[in-house]
Amino acid sequence: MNVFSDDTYIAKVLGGNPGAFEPIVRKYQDRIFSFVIRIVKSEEDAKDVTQEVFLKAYRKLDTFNGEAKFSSWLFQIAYNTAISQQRMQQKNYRIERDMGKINREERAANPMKIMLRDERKRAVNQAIDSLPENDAAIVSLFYKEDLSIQEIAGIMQMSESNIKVKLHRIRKKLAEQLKNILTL
Amino acid sequence: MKELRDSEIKKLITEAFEVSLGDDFTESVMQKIKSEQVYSPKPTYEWWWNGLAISLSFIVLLAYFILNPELLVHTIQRFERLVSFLNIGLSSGSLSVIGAILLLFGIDFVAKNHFYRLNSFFML
Repeated sequence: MNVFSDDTYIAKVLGGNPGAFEPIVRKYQDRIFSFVIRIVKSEEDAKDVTQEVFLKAYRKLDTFNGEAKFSSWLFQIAYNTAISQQRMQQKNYRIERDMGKINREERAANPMKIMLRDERKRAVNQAIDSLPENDAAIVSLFYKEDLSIQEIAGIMQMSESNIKVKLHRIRKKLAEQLKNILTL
Repeated sequence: MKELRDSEIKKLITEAFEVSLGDDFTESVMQKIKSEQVYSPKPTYEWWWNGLAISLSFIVLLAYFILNPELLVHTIQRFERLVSFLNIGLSSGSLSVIGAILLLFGIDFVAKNHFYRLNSFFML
């Protein structure tokens, strides 16, 4: 956990200490990767894009004026970078994902529980992967990152009403696709 | 089968979206960051910038009027014409003082907002 706020680390970086960017990378790398993979649909591409996001953020750090939250600004860079990558690649991989780093002891102690959890994750990932990139991005920002409609609209450069309509459709689709999962 | 509530969707998605890239990924990002340009600290505003800006402004004005004395006379005549046009009940001496104070505020404003440009110009 970072001892200082994002603003403190940003000020240190802008003051000539690039090493102060490391806590920011640690704090956001998993979240950015988790978001980006929904758009590019490839684990390797998602890692490359995530790295690119942090490089871009570092290069543009002096343009961050603090009007929005740093996380929103970072996610906006992530969204734009991922969408550009996706348009360039035009790929449609089925994402093969590590089902989580579960240690042997945990798997041995709760094999059924772990298996059911893996099955749930597989089903959810399959449902999300079937969504178009923008819808998958909204799912990630709304449900995983807990962002407001206003923040999501800012990141994705769409109107709030557009996001609300999409979210409504996504909810219905996911509710239908995932309704059997709760029994797992 | 009942429909999923939003909170249940959130729980499933949070569980499915769990990832951990690890320290190796952080290290590889920081390797690339460290090969990027290091930011230079920006100069911070100091009070003596005002004094320097004001002094320099007056020196420049004074030098200009010394080199062009007819311009000084011309400026004073224009100023007196403006005073009578505005029909303000103040003497030109009082107006000069007011004008000088306004000028000082103007220079102060410029100094506070653009001191870093002055800093680059004078390479301080």
